[in-house]
Amino acid sequence: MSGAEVLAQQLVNGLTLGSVIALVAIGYTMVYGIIGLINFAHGDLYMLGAFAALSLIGVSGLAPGDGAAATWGTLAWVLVLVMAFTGGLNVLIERWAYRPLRRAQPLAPLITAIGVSFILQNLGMLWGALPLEVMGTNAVAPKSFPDLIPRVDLLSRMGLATGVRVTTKDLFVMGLTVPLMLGLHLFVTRTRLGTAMRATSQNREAARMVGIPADRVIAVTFLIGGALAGAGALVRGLFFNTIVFNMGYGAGLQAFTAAVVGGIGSIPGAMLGGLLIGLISALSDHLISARWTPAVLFLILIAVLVFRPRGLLGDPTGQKA
Amino acid sequence: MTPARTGERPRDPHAPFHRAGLAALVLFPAADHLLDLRLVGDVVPVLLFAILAVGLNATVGLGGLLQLGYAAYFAAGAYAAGILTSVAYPFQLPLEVATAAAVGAGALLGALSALPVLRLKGDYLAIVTLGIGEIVPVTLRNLEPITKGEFGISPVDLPGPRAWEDWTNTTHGVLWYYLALALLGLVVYCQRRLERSRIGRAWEAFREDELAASACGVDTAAVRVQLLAYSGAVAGLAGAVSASYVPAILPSQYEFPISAMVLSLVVLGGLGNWRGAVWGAILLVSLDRILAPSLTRWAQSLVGSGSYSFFLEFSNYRFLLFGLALVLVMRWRPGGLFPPRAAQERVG
Repeated sequence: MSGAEVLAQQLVNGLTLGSVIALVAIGYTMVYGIIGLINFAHGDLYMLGAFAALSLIGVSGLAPGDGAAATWGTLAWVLVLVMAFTGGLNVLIERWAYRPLRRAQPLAPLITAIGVSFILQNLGMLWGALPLEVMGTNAVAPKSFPDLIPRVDLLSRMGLATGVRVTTKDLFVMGLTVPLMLGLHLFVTRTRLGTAMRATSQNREAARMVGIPADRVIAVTFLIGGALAGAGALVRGLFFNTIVFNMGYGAGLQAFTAAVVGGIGSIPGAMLGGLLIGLISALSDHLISARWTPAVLFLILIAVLVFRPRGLLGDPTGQKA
Repeated sequence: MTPARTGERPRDPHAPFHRAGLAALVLFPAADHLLDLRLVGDVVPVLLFAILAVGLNATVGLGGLLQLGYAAYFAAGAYAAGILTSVAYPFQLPLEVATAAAVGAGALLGALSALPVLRLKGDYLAIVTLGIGEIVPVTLRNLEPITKGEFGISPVDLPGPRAWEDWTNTTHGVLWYYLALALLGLVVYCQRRLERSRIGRAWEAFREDELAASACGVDTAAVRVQLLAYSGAVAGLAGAVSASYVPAILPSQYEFPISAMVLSLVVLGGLGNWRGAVWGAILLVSLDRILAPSLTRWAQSLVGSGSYSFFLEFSNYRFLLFGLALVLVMRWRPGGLFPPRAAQERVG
């Protein structure tokens, strides 16, 4: 492979990874935008989404090599159920853990979020011990996620003789994440509820005064953020084919970094940040070494916080920073 | 509000309990010996966790800076002690000298990590500290020429003259116990002096209102450096002692779960109150390290070890319980399990 091809390959990998990161980053940025909380538990919610997806696929009995109609039909309802599960769970968490703390001291919601993160991670570990065939015998070991999406190299199929591989798996990831993000964008900018959400995010008291039910809008925000994390979890499981109960921490940090780089509170910022972090991770894996990638991402996070706390597309007044 | 001069402080209604607790700590090895419990050695890590909790309590409780990467400073102390004393390196200094260096290493890392956050507070500062807590273990794992990577460093030197090299022997558990207890006493003493000093009051003023504190002449950038350097120094001390107690260092001992555990101890004990930090740490770590394993044995003896033995292992619920405790304490008892006298005024 030539240097240009290697670079192009890393771009493809980075975009695929980045679009999954972006789905999770949206959950961070929406919650931060509306109640100013770094929802530390979001990464663990995503992990539970992956466990739910694996369990549902296990229950459905779907296996690699089943016909296209069966595979896509089953995956469609798995997607819906997983999104409902993580979205609903996120609403419950907001209702029981965060809402009572609206007027508490500033550190209380963040510490509560850390507590919720512990709870969810521990639940994920116990989930792995359930007597399901897909969970294997070792509770805490990584679980293998069935490889249901065929990996067909599209460029060589089209007769392009390059070393770069763009597979149907990459296409599947884009095909699921891009419409979800577009739909979210239309929802936030074109609907009444989306407008109410933006208003609440700008000024909760003023929104309440013009008759917006702020608590309900916040609940919807958690629902959407959680559902997108569930979708991201299914996509991730199908793309990387392995999940583990403590993956939420690292995935959450990656997504949070993306949200900060893009400008926390900004939904387009989270999408852009997700793609950028995906690209940077892929390039760092290739140019430096995969084991240094977490440190590289954190140095970027710290640099952004120090030099441009509002990120690329953040609130220019700096109020969210 | 807290009176400005120490002489005016009201008497603490809980003082008798604290004295009784202190007496229990001092007499514990005798009771352990008489009842043949053999727990003295297990309590040493509990006391080291209490030291960490007191140190972190300065940043989070007194200064109001949420520090999420505390294990990084613990690691700095441990690796400083390991590198300076282990036979795998050319220095081979005595542990006492290396411990002083470990305190310095913790303080230096603390001061350095304050640099990016001189203007940040709240969530953003928490994230930067979390980042430092992530970068340090990644570096320790991968910088093999200096840190030996995944192999870690062992053995770390033991305290005292070389002639005492059977320190780890169970009969010497008592010596370790009193060494750890004395260090805890020293850290608590420093903390009390600090709290009542000009520096400590500047920290509290900074926590309550950064703008007002700065208008009163408190240098808020210096406060950040002081807070992170001080808690880093305490963690460095605990790191050196725990490395020598184990006596080995592995990078996996210094990751996020340790930071999370110490933060839970501080929050559950009571933010801004060293007594809460000490008793919270002793109570919770004892439950976790000593009571939970015996409960597990008891539960498994009742049911027998079948396919559900994973669910009977109490350590598999550790983070569930810590998480629930954090959520419930924040909701119902924000001053912690052992709130200070004026909990409402300080926290509310």
